[in-house]
Amino acid sequence: MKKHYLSLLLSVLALAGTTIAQADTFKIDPVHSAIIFKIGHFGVGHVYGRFDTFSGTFTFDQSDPSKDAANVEIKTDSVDTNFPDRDKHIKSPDFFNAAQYPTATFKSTAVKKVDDKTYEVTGDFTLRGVTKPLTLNLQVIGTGPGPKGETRMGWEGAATLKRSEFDVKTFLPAVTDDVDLIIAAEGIKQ
Amino acid sequence: MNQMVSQSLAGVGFPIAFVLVAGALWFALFRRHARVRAIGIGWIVAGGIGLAYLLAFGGFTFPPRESGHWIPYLAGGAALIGCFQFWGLRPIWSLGISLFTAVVFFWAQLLGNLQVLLWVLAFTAVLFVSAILLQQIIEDRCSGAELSLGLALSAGAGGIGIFLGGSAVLGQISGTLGLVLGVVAVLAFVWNTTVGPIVPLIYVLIFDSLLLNGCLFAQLPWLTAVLLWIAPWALLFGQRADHPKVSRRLGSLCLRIIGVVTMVAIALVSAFLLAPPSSEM
Repeated sequence: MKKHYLSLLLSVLALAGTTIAQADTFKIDPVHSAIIFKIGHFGVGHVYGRFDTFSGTFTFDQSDPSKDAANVEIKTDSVDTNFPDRDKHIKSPDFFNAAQYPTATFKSTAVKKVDDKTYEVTGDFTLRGVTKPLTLNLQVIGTGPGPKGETRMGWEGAATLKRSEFDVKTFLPAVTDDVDLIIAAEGIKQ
Repeated sequence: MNQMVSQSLAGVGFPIAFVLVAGALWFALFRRHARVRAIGIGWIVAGGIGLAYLLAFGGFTFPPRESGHWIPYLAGGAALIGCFQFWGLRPIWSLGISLFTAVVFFWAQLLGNLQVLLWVLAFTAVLFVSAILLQQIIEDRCSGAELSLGLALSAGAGGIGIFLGGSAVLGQISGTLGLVLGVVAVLAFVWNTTVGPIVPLIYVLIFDSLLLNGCLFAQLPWLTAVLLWIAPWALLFGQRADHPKVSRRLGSLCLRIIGVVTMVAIALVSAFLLAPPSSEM
């Protein structure tokens, strides 16, 4: 009986340690996160790519979504489409011009709660020196303790942008204007 | 591939057609008026470059945010400066626009980074030396066809080199510059005239900017860029051939251009070795 009460007490304490207080800030764990994009190719297929290097934070307040925020910085020269020659071309002035614009950034400006698990996060996305509004449709995957007892929170979502709005017009329309983003982010509470 | 090929062909074809028609008319009308002819051909070449940029990038960006955006404005600026140079002080004007072009490239890094100043000074020197050489020395020693063809070969090869370096669009613009100058070379040969000092100034600013863009922001090998930069200097050797007989002029032209062809060939070999072609499409 004592062992049962003891384990119950320990569980309660562990849970208390992993609850989200108001407006908690999380640092994105890039090892367990992904930023992937998909773009149409000649109307017959899609090319997928990802960014290998990015960082950021997000703030989450369960009771007040107006305090939620997200800031992400992506290294444009970390683009990876599984073909080095294409990656070289994407980094060139034809597309990202990564040497002149080493980062792409997203800074949230508004968060709208759709339901308990779904949020619309609108913010300013900057690519190649051009800033345009972008809305991400995100779903909460979960919250809980990590392997070292830290509190983790995970999101997954998507957005679509038009690359021509960011001055990336090469090979239109053979390579589509619409680019689908898939974001999976896991953050560690700070 | 058809869609992209047709877009590329249009991006190259329209500027060439424009320069061919406008240039032919201008050469015919002002064959005996060297200054007017030089000014007109300069503006026609600048217009061809502007059209090439418009078709390659889908529009002009104003205000320019990066060095590549300046290309059509530099072409127009070079044509304008070329006009002012007829009133004297040619080196001062060349130095001024060379410095402006260099600052345009490194403006974003210049503030708070004095090391970048060295890059600005180096690029200014490159442009200025090229401008003086081509405008004053080589232009005096060449017929219009010889000069234009030498510049055309270098710019055309630059298109290939920049394309191999990873930028298809900048490569297309450089290639189009080469073809535009090739058209000017043909027209100058047919009419047996000079092209004046404005065309080489436009070439220096636009082509050297493209080479620097290719080296800094794509992966054009520096060796290839330097070889292409100095290739037209082979025209320093020899004398202008203005012989009225076409066959004699053609023979002199071929002899004169051998040095440029050799340098361009070496540059292309270096490009293929250092930045081999890919098959990403």
